[in-house]
Amino acid sequence: MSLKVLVVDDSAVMRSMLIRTLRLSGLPLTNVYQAGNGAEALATLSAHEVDLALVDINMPIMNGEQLIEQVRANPRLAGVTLVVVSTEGSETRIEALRARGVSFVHKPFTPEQVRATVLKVLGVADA
Amino acid sequence: MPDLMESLATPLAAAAAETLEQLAYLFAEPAAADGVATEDVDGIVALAFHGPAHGALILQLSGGILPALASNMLGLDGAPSLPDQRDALGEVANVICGNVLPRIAGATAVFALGVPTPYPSWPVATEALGGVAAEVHLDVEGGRADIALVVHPAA
Amino acid sequence: MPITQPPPAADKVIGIADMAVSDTSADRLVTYALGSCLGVCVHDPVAGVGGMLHVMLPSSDIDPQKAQRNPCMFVDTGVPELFRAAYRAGAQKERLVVKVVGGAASGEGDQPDNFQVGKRNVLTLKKLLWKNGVILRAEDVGGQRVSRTVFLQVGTGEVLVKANGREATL
Repeated sequence: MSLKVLVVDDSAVMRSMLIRTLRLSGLPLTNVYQAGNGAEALATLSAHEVDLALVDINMPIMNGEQLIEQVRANPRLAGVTLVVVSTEGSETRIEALRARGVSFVHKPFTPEQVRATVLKVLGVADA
Repeated sequence: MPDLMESLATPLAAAAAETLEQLAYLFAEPAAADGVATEDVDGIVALAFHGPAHGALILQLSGGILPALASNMLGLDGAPSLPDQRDALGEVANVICGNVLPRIAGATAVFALGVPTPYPSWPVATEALGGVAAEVHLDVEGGRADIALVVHPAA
Repeated sequence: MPITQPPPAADKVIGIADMAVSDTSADRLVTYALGSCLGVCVHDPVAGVGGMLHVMLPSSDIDPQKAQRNPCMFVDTGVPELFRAAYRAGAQKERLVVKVVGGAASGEGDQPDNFQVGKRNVLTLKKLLWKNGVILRAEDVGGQRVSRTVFLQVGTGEVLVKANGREATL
C-alpha cells in the first residue's frame, strides 16, 4: 500500500503538525502535498493523484466547503477520501459535511485523534 | 454589562485553556494578577467573526512564551522561525475563536472566521475593533495570555 | 530433547517512582492506586518486551538532584529512562505501543485541585512524546479523585485498568 496525501490549511504550522502526525502514525506516505487554500488544493488535485485530503474549513480565497463541493462534483476525484480538520463547532455545518461522506476531526485535536480517524477512513487495522 | 461579561468570560477562558493545552502542551490557569500585560509582549493577533453575531477575538501572548508555543506545536526543541511563530499565534487565536462561539451562540449557529491579523499593541487592537465584551487573563508557564472578545451590537 | 517449562505467571509490582521492564511473556506488571501519578506502559509486540513506570511529578526542574538519584520520580526524566530500558531489552521505538493511565485531579471534598499535578503530568508526557516522535496509543486519564490500578501483560501487551469498582481493557 502507498498513500498520497494533500494537506489543506492556511496555517503552515498546522499543515506541519498534521503531516508530522500522519508520518508518526506509521502510514506508508509516498507523496505529501500542501495547499494554503481551496483554490491551491484544486490545482494540486488536477496535477497529481491524491488518495487522502485533510481539509480546513475557514480559509481565504476558497474555503473548505467550496473545495469539497468542487471535489464531489468532479467524477475524476471520486477516489479522494476527505477528512475535515477544523475548529468548526456548528452541528449544522458538521452534519452537512457528514452527509457528503466527509469525516471530521475537531481542532484542537490530539495526534491520537487524527491517527484514529485517518486509520478508520482508510480501513486500516489499528496494529 | 457585568452579567454579559461574566457569561462570556467563563467559556472564553475554558476555550483558551483547552486550546493552549491540547494544541501547544502549555498549562494555563487563571492569572494571579488582573489587567492586560503591558511589558515583554510576544505578539498580538485578532480575527473577526461574522454570523448570528459579529465581532472579533483578540489574543496577546507575553513573557516569552510564543517561541515555546510554536516549538511545541511543531514538535521542535529549538525556537522556530519568526514567521512560524506568527503563524502559530494566529492559528491558536483561530482555534480559540472557533471553540468559544458555539459555547456562546449555541451548537447550530454558523459563523465565518476571518484571517488572523497582527496588531502593534493591545490598545490599538481594542480601539480598532470596538468595545470589549469580555476579557480573560491566563498564566501560562511563566508567561501570560490575554484574550478579549469583541461583540458588536446587532444592526 | 529437554522439555522447557514456561515460567509460572508472576505479578511484578511497581512501586511509586519506580519502573520495571520484562521480556518474560508470563510476567504481568502491575502498579496500584494511581491518583495524580501516571502509569506509563510500553510494549513491543515483536520483541515481546513490556515496561511500566509509576511516575509522580511532571518536571525535574524543581529538584534536579533528586531526579539524578531517582529519575522515575519525574515524567521528564522517568519516561526517557523507561524507553531506554525497553530498548536495552530489545524493543524498537517504531514498534512501541505506549499507553497511559492516571493523572486524576486531587483535592479533598469541594476543595479545588490547586496544583493540578495530574493534569500537568499528562501534559508533560504528551509534550515529551510528541517532541520525540511517538504517538500515544490509548489513555485513561483525568477525573476527580479516581484511584486506578493498571496491569500490563508482557506476552500480549494487554493493558487492564481497574478503577472505582469497574474494570476495562485499554
